[in-house]
Amino acid sequence: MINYSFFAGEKVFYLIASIIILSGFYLLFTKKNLLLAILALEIVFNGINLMFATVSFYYGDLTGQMIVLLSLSVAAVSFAIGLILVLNYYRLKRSLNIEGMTELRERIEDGERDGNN
Amino acid sequence: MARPLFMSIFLLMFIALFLLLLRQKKVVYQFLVYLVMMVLLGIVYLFLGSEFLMAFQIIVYAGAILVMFLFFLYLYPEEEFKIQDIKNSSLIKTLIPSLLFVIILIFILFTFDVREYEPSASVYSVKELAKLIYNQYPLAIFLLAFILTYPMIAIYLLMKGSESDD
Repeated sequence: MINYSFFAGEKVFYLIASIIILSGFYLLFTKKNLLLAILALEIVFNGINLMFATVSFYYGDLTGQMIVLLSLSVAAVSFAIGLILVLNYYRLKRSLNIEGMTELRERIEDGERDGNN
Repeated sequence: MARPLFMSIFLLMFIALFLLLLRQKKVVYQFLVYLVMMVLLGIVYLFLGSEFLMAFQIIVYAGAILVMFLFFLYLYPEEEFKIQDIKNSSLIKTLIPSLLFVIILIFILFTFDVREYEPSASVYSVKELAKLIYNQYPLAIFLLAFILTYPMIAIYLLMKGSESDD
């Protein structure tokens, strides 16, 4: 017998939000592409937004919806700016591999550390 | 009775999409699964009584931002983009919308007065939410619109750069 109270309450929304967050994490941790990492973070943001909207609806406070509205706008902007940053990185390096981003790493083999001078 | 039924169907659809995501190997297909997920998320917002968020999610997020990402995915292996400095003429042209918004912001700051608004019948409807936003939060909405212009300016600069490449 199916328990309908589970689907009528707020828990099903939390479950959907956690599925979305998990799918974002799946993409984030399985791909080593900078472009897809940005997409994965946006997906995680959407899951968290659903949690905000759920709490806002079930506790009768409109602040959660306002937060979601602002969060969606800022996420959209950061997504666009992130895409442009990735594009510029690709122009410079011709690669989007996250593991290849080692420009700021200290080069020990070249003797560039301060103690080796 | 209809709400638990629809929510169970939506939960099943999300689980099926998640399993489909795990099965897919190509990035484009995985992205298309995400796109469907985001449209479904907009419909879930409808069940939470926030029609405004539903419209925003589907029109702006799934309709504009993710489709832009799809174009980026298609363009990624191509070597058509080259480094190009931004010219001063382009910068001056992009300053015009920014200045316009600053002028409107000053106009709003000096003319609008924030009015207290008590929601009447149902809080979770588009009409009540719009009344609340435009009575109590006009500045927040204006700042939101101001923030949203920046990607347009950035894309404009990008387009101008690629045009001058040709």
